[in-house]
Amino acid sequence: MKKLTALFLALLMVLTVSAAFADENPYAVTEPITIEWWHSNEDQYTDFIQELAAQFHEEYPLITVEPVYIGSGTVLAEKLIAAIQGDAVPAVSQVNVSYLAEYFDSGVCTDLEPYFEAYGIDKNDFVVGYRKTATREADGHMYSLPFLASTQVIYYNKTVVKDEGLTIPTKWEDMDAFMKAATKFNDDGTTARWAFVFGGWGTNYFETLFTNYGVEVIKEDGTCGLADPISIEITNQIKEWIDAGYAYWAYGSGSSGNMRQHFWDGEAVCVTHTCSLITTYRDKIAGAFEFDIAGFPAAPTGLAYTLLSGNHLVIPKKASQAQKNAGFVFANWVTSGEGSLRWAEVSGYMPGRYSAMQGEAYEALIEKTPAYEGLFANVDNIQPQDSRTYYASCTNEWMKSLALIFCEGAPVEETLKECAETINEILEDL
Amino acid sequence: MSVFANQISPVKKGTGTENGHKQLSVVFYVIGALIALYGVFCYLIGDLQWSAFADRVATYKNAYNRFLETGKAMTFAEGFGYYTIKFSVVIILLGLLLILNGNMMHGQRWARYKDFICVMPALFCLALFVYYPLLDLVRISFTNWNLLKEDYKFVGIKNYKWLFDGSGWKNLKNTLIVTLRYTFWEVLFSLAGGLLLALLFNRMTRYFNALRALTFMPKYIATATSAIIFVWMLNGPHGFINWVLSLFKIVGPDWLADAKYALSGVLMLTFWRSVGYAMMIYLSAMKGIPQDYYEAASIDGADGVHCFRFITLPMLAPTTLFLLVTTFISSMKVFQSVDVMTSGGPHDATMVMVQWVYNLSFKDFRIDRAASASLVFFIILLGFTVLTMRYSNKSVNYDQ
Repeated sequence: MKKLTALFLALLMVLTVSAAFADENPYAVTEPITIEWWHSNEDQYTDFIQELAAQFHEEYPLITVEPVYIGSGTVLAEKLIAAIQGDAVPAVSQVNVSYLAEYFDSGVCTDLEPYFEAYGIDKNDFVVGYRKTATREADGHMYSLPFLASTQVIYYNKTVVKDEGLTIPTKWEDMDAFMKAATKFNDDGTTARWAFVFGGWGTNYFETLFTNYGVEVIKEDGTCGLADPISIEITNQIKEWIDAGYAYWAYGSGSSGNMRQHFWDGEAVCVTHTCSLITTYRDKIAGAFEFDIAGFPAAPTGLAYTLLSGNHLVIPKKASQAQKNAGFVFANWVTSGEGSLRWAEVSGYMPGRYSAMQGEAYEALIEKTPAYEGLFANVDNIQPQDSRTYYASCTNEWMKSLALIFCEGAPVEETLKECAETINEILEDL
Repeated sequence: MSVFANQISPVKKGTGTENGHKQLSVVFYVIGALIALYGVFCYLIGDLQWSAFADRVATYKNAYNRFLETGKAMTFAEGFGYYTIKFSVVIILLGLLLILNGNMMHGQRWARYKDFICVMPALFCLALFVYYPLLDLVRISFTNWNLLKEDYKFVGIKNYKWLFDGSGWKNLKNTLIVTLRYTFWEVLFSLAGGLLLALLFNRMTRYFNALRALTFMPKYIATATSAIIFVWMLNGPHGFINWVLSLFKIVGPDWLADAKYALSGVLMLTFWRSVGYAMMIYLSAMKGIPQDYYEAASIDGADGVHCFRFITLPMLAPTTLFLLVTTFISSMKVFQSVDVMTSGGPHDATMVMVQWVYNLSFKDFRIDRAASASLVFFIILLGFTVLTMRYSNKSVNYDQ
């Protein structure tokens, strides 16, 4: 009888404790559920993603995740918009950071603050720049979880740098000397090896080179600052290097691929590219030479910021509460320390939380790809992209103008003035 | 079925059957009108935001959102209200079809009415998926909708002002020029190339059959797939085309990255894909030209050039018109090849109209502006097509 009573009491206690926990967390998953995770990670990640889903199911048996590859980031954005309009949303979706602000302001994402509170997640653990990107300006709440974070870095040929006694510039002032020292010319005067290749096919790749210097795309008075003297000065400087054959501005269809190929073939010492391709660089170079990565050279202001790119995970507001609950558990798991380190290992994307940048798994990652160390050390230099929706239209005009200057030989001052006028027109039309 | 068929079978004036038709058709009229009117009312309070009913609409939407989030079912009134507002256009169309049905029943014979019944589903789908979106563009072009938010405002002609008197004008002008330039070259190359190839391959031998098949084959390959292959072929430093040119000591340009050549690069793909189609259409038309004409001409001493100039070409005029109109319309709407190959760049050198509209919608989240640009584009396209048809009706001879 005593045994029975003890058993009964124990059972009662377990039930009471479970109920108490359930009460504490209103977002707990209590019943088996299958959720969809929409993503845009291509074929090379398929096996890894399936493994990840299986591992998650092992740890959380109540939740089954079905990863669905939708297409590229743009295609995913289109489909998600259609799904939101058609009330047929997934529980979790990947979203490129450039779309986040519009999604947040349109009220289509779930506010994650209550979930952080329920699960005791410390928001300060998120890398500061990533957290800002995930935060809606209007209420200061986080609406997404940093997932595949990347930024712009300089890939450099470490073998050439060592053999020829070069120093990778850490300051903008050192760039000129490096350009001259690292370039090699053919007998006919054409460039045999470029010292530097500037990424000009996306605004992320060059924006902070200018803004670190103090250039303002949109000034406080609401007008464009791209025709200001400081902007003209930097543009002139880069044009001088390009005209002298030390560097080129990669722009247009296929320019990213060509730039990479030049680097792999030893025809460029430094290229600016996304850190998310670090494993691709590693595999393509395949030991032909040593390479490493460095941050952007600091401007005289001391700033050496780069911009955050990559993807976040959002939970659509139109998902059912049960879907949201399960979606959050999965999104949190996959973006947490261990999950994000696994991503870093197979891709080149960075972890989104400080807690991931320590411990054994982290050490193992650094040992496998030493280039990560410098990247993670500079993680606080990664700034969020400007979240204003029209900002991309403005920087796009800037990108076209810079390409005209650097690739087609258009005059600097006139072209930048024209660009500023166009942007001012865009701003007036808001 | 037989009872129904008897009811509306051949109308005989003054008979009981006719009266039955009329009574039934009146029922259709009345029910159709009521449904259509209710649909219009729903459209007014939902899509056009008739403010007098704003609270009611908000209540329904909140009930639906609550249902999505918590699973708590809506009441019948809430569900009926929400769904009829959401599907107001379907309701209007159903009402109109019932009215039309009543009209057909009232005045037509059974055989005709039967035909109408058969086309009704297709008519409904056509109206819902083709004409309604077109009409809805008009509504969207007067709003500030961004494709995502549920609450949008009507902003009058603001989007049209942006298009014609703001920063949109420069883009509109550029995209129209690029689109027309692209269209001109595609129409010219496809028609001229297709005609030349048709003349060349107009022989029924085994080898020419194979050549014809080879020429036509690119049409079967998906545009995106061909576009990716052309991107590789047209690459500046590592492309196949420039490698071939280098064998002749010619330094080829960076076809798709250089603003001067980018449109030519895209046109190469277009020509490769479309010339086979034009050739096949011309070939089939050539087979229809009576041989008597050529025989009579040769008796009169006409040579090959004369036969082509005075028999083949005029007899192919209707086919040329058909190809002209269809190629013109399809090339004005070009998107996929441009999107894959250049995305409209460099420096907007290949920014065709649809690519611009796409960018406005899905990259800038300005579906409102995209709608106004689309409507202007539609009107231009319609105008060009009407002009072409009018001109051709005067100058194309359809007699054989």
